[in-house]
Amino acid sequence: MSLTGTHIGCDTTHCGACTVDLDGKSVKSCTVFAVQANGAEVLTIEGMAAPDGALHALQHAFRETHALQCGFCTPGMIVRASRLLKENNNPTEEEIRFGISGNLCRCTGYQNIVTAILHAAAALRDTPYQEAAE
Amino acid sequence: MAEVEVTLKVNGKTVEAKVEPRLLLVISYGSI
Repeated sequence: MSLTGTHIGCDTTHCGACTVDLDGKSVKSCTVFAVQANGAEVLTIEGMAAPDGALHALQHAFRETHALQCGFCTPGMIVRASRLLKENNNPTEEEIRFGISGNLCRCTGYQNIVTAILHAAAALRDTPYQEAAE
Repeated sequence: MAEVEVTLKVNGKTVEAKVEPRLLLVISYGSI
């Protein structure tokens, strides 16, 4: 299929770099057998953007808020975040941190990833993003 | 090892493939 966006990271279900959406659930595809996915619908990072190439709100937010450095975790992180926002369209920072806890990032320290997901959640709800008060 | 036919819908596109049962889903490995 030549879909190279889904990355192999640890190959042991720890890091989340290989996260895809399988029938509405986030799965770490490095430990899902192809036969287990028979008949299923799979969403990878390549399926996130609109057919005309317009970026998904999460992709846009990751770019705008500098939520990636090396980018290796990003495809899995975005696919996971999209499932998280489908389950909860107005998550708190704590809920986001819990929701992406199966996806490891060695570069960013997570803060900008969380910010990006908050931005995307606001954009998807069509409300302006407001920083939480200190 | 015998191959198994699988049908998936990946990013809206239906894909049929013959895979060995031990092959993992990770698409960038070329399983599918």
